[in-house]
Amino acid sequence: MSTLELRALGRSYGTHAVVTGFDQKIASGEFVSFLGPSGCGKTTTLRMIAGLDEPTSGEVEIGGRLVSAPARGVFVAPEERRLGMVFQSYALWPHMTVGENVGYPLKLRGVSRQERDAAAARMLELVHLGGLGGRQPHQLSGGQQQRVALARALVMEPEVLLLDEPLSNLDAQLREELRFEIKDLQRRLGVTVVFVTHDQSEAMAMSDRIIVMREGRIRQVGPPAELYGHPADLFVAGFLGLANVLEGVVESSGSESCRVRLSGLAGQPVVDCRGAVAAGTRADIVIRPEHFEVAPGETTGLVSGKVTRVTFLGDRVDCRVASGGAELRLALAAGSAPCLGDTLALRARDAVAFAQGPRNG
Amino acid sequence: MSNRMRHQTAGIKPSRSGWASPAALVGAVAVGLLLYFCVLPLALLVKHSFQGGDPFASYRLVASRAANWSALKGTLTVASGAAAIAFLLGVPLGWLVAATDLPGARSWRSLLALPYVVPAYIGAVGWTYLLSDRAGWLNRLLTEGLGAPALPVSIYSLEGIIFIEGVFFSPFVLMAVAEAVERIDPALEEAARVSGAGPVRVWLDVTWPMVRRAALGGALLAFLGTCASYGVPAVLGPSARPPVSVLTTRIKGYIDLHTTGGFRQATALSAVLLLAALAFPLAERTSGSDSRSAGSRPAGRKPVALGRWRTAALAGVGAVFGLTTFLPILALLISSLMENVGRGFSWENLSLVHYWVVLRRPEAGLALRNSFLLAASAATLAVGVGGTLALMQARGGLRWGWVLTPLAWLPYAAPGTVLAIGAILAYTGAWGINLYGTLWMLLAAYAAKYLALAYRMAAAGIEQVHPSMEEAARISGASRLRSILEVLVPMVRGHLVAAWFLVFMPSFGELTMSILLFGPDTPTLGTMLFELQSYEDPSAASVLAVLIVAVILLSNALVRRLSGGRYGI
Repeated sequence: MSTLELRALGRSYGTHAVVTGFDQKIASGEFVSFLGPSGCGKTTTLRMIAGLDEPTSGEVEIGGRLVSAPARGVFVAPEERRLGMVFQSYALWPHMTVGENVGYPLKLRGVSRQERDAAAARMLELVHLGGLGGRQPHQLSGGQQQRVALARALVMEPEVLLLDEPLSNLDAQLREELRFEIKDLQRRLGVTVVFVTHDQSEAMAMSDRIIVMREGRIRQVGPPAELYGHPADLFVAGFLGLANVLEGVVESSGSESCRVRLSGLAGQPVVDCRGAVAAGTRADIVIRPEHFEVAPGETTGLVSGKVTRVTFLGDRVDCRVASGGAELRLALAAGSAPCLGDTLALRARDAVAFAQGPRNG
Repeated sequence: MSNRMRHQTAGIKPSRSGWASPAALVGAVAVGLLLYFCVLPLALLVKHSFQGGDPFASYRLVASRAANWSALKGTLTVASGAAAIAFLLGVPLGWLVAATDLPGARSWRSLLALPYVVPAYIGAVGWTYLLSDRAGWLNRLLTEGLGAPALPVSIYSLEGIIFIEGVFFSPFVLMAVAEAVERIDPALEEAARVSGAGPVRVWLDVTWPMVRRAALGGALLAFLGTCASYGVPAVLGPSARPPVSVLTTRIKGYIDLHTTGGFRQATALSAVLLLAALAFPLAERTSGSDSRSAGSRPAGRKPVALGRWRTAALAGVGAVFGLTTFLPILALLISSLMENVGRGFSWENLSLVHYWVVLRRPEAGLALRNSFLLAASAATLAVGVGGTLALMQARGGLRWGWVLTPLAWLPYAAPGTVLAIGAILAYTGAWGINLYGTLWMLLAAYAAKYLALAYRMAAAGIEQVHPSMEEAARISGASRLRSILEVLVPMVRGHLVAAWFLVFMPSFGELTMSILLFGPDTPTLGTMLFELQSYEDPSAASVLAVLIVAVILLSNALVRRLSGGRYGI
């Protein structure tokens, strides 16, 4: 386990920049996710850490050792970086048994066959595949193949474990199971993990910190709860969790908060928002579905709307409410489900305001 | 992919990127061999044809001879006729074996495609036993046996040459059509049926429009292949009345003059013939043969029920196979086993004496050894170089990687005669290297000619391996070369073995280039067969023909066995 430091890392193809100014320090034993839509540069960044792609600017340092620095003429080949990596396709070699796959990194380091087999068996045990070392990869299920790939990546105790969307080819239930398994394994081994995903729930469930990326740049870095509660911008707010994005005019402004009158909604919708936006300007307002509550009996400061869709989800109810020209999404407690066609008066418990700049959402 | 291609070129010094290393050296050698053996001969040929004070002097000279014009006319006539026959045979047969419930469709497909691996000139030799003027067995059967009035059907004729070329190039159309049919989504035809079209209507409105391109591409390949063909017109043309002359035999005639002037005219004619190579990429693409090696066949296609036509179709397919392929090969086998061809068929006349006589000749042993050695070396060289080039193209991240494909295809597209003339120019004295009369000369020509087949097969294999397979090995601690040798190569082994045989088979019986390049010490089976056939001993020639066919069929069977039926015919 090691620290990982990326300094002003950049990758461009000709004039097209894929990653720009990526600056981040990752502590030893930390689990960090790169989260973003496809094409945001997260995989390219991971591949630059691995040495499978070469940066065009900036530096990569693994465990205090400079491994990529184009300006200084430094490039350490991937095989010399002591990393473990799990690929999206698992990349298990079909001409080797499961045990040989797991033992291969040790073979390359001149470990004797006997020790290799013992280590491979131990690793397979660790990922709950004890005794399957003699099988061919294609004889295993997708989830088992994924675990083999994990065992192979961990067998030589890598400095950093890189995971490139390792769960995206699995079905939903298995994905959730493996999330916790990977997390558990990481805690036990104390390995530093960089995890690339476009799935925000995966990132939130597993990470110590999430790095949200968009168009090659870091948009926000922080623990999952912080990103969810205090998104830095509209993009982050929309990418992590569900969000109703509304518009309004700021009526008054404090140092940390403001009061906004929402436009385009029916009723008297005035909400108190976190975030200081200058009075008199227009603002974008984010309200999470679970932050709406039904407020019977009150009249001011409320959004009124008509229920257009009710979906029962077990623990809660997903409601769509039409108000003015807009459609709001609500997550209500299962017991308080309204009926289709009901008219509701809604209050927002929490909202975040962002000054409207040049549009970036 | 394009990102990956550009990736290595952003001004990174190879010494740091892990590309110096043994891997880069291997790549540089492969590109060097490609340029020296595939590009240089043809480039020199074109240059040479324009040499002298008046750059067009050779062309003017060539154009002033009526014989050259008639050779050009001969080539175009034979090639058009052969393409038409290949089309007319290949389209119905290809559809029957691929789309219908014809009994034994899979086996028929292999049998009908046999001429693809058997050299056409061997078929021509076989036919001389069947349809030569008076002595041909079929002719005698018709006149003596059935009492027909004298029917001078002679294989020694323009029609005979066209017939054999057409038959031997028909697999190009057959395979193109069969594969195009298999690529059709059955739902398209089913939708037409549901919409109210009968089976014939469906074929005309849905099936045919989707295979037409491939069929025409296959016919164009047959046309180009016939233009480049030397063996059949050389065996049959001179004895035809009037003699049939084509460009390839004409070029050989100029070379046989052994004069500087003759050689210059040969280069000019060759440069003209080389124009055929320009149409080759188009033919390859439209026939779909560039995707042929993929080897995957969509399952779940319900065969068209032939119903009461089934027996008739079976009889037709059997008759075509019997008449075009089986009979001439059988004729070769029988004639090689007859002690005296003039004595006719009888048990007493059956003997292995010709095998004994031929194989005891030291020249035959030499030819056999040369052919084996050359075919095996050419196959190994082509797989090594072709595999490396395919790897560089797919994984090298080279900005100029795309040129490798057309360069590797160049010698395959060029007629063998033309490539051989180029080889003479390139390797007899240029840069102090003189390979004339050595096996190296033949090896260079064979390997260059068939490099493309190995290249394509290797590329198809590599395409099926995701780059993350090697990347996983790199991360595990393997060097670039080691990740290739220990991960990629084992994963494409089947393709490489198939590629080896794909080069071995045509090289083993090669005639067109060998006849121009062999020397007194370097006869091959092909050149020896040709000389025996033309000058002294047809029985001995059929012994060699049987040997060549046997080795080729055995190799083909081996490929099919090793690849589980995916490759080979």
